[in-house]
Amino acid sequence: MKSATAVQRQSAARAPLAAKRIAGASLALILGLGLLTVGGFASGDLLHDAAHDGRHSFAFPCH
Amino acid sequence: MDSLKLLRPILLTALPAGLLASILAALFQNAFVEPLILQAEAFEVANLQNPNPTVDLARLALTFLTTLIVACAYGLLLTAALMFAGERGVLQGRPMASGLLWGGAGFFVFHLAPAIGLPPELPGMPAADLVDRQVWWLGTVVCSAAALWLLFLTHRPVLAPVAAILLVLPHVLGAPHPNNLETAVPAGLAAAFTARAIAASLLLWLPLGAAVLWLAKRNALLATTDAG
Repeated sequence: MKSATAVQRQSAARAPLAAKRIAGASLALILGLGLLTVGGFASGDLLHDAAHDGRHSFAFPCH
Repeated sequence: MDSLKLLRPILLTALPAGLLASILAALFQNAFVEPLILQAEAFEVANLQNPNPTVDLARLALTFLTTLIVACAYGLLLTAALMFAGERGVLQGRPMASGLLWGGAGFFVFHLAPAIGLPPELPGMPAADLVDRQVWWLGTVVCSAAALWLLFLTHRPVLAPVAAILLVLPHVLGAPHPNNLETAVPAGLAAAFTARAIAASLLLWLPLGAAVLWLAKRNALLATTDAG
């Protein structure tokens, strides 16, 4: 059986790791949204024309 | 910055998974989807002078690049979702099944739910205002993702009705559509395109889900108790 202190120490160690994971997840979310904007949504003739067929295929609203 | 230390394992999870997933989807698109786009362009009024548009290597390469970029973007978003979920996002001892379920969820959120209101459409099909459609698409994606999260990742049955409302809300509000649906594109061509485009998305998402989950576990992105 774990002592109360051991449990406390364990959860204290877990908390910053969970916070780190959430911070990392937020970073991945921002990068993913940025890349999705470039691939699926950014206007501008060059980007639009280059991505045209792919956008239609993935059903991003196009034109 | 703690989150920046995770940048490397995040990229080493999302990008290889995106690359892998884009290969199958791009091959399918190239063989089954692209020819329909070219046929439809022949029916577009603006292209009547050039009834047989040819496909060149540059165009195929750009389409592959777009698929790769989108697959990597989805890989990053899926990595983010998995990290938010942590270990509760993985079925005990069944990583492959978990990965396919996450892939299926991504397919539902980004393709199947939006396709109910805005089915994949060929060039030359009449469509409502672009910004209106983009707003509806984004709203549907956010509502559907939130609904799946509430249903499967919170253990609070009281939230199930909220999830149900989020699932149906975009479709009750309705996607923007043009008043006049007349087009020179044959209906059969449009129907085949819609079916194949949805299939291409599924071919992207299932391998993506499996690969992201496998790599995320390998790169210790899901652990809350491991050191590191």
